[in-house]
Amino acid sequence: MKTRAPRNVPARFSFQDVLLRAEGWGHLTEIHSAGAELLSYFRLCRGEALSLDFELAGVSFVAVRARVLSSAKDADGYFYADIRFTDHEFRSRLGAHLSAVLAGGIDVEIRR
Amino acid sequence: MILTIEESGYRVAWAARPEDLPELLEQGPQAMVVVAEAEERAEMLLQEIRRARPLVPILVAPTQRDAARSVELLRLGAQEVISTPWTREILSACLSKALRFQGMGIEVVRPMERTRRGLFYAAAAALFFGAAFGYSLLDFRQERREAQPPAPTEWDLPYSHPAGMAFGRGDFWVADWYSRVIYRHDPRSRAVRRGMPLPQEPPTAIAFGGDCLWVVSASGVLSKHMLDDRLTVLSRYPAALGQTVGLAYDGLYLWSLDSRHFKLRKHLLDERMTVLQAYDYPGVKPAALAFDGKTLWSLDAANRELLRHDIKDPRLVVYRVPLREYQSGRWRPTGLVWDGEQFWSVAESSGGGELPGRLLSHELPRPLSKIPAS
Repeated sequence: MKTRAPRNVPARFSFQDVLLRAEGWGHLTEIHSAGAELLSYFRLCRGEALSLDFELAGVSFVAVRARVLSSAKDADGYFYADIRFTDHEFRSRLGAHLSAVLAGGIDVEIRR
Repeated sequence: MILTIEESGYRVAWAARPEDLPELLEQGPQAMVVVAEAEERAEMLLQEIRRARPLVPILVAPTQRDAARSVELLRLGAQEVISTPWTREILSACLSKALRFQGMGIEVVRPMERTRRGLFYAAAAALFFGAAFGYSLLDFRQERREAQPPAPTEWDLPYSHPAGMAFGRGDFWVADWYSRVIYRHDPRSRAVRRGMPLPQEPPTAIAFGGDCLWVVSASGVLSKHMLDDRLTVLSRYPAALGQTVGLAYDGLYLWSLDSRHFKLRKHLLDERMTVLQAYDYPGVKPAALAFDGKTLWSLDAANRELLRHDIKDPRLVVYRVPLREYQSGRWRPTGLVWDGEQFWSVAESSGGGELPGRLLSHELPRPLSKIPAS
């Protein structure tokens, strides 16, 4: 089941594997309990480890570890990155939150 | 940046100062707006542009790269935050993506017409008889209602010199210039919940500004107060305003009504309360000012009427509503608020002396009749 929210969620991310690489930001265009799609004009490459901060339906998620599964550059020069959350405990927490959000009537995709 | 954007194939119109922004937006339509090098004013400009052009993508280009602030700007409604250095590659990507943004579709859907059937006529007949019965029942109830006395619309205040009024935190706040106290009233019982002294100078107008209370004194000193029991002063702006009889905050700017120079002034909330624009007051005797969530209203004490102003040009009056409560001339209005449902005002006795001040409620007629444009 997939529904759409009225706006994308802004997210801040830093790169875990590369020292001194500046933080970036973008939007989560899709989210599910195992991962998300991140849209950003900062370069994102397959295999990179990220730490994300974002807020979803009033709940803040800080230092969420994720890895870029795949990344593609679109015609505008933006990167669409398919990311996977690497913390299993966080996945469970996020899944429960997404379920509660959907039950409350706010639209977000939920997949397992 | 302008040169780089033009080299990317866009036509650019720009404003060097935030004060020129409204005029630039009026020239529209714009495909997108870029707020560059605005630094601490970026949030304010973002809100201003969203209010004037709610459907246009806005990009912000600060001179300092700050990921946390960038995400905050995105949450406030920016389409994108362009990081330094503003290379042609990054600018081109951001502008191109913003142009592709289509946003939410809006359209008016015409209702489908239906063919009439026999059931329609039966339903229409039932409706007619039902309406006839209902009318006779209403008429009976109206006769009973007219026999009861009308609900009161005026109340005495426990002090004599109300000078300004505001509505916030669910209560009426009324300033008394003689005792230099701000009284907080329960809106249902009108009872005083608390009195907070302002010993510095007699207040002449007050207004809520989000999470603070603005107070202007007889000498034109504007002060910003915390909403605690002591109304702790957060900042003071000496000689910021003239002889002010009304204050209103529209969510972005503070408006002041000057009764000496007959001016309505729009202030930026900076360290000098810079006057962005000053408009001639279109009435005879300004007495009070209020914001109803959409536009400004003022009370003209000479004509004893409420004026609804065009917030883009407050010299233009959209509605004039005579206030029957002031037609007798016994009361001199000094404060005005909108509580979300109706207007309230406070007044001093015209004859002076120690008569109690007055709290009045005003039910506006529906629909409001427009004055012809002149």
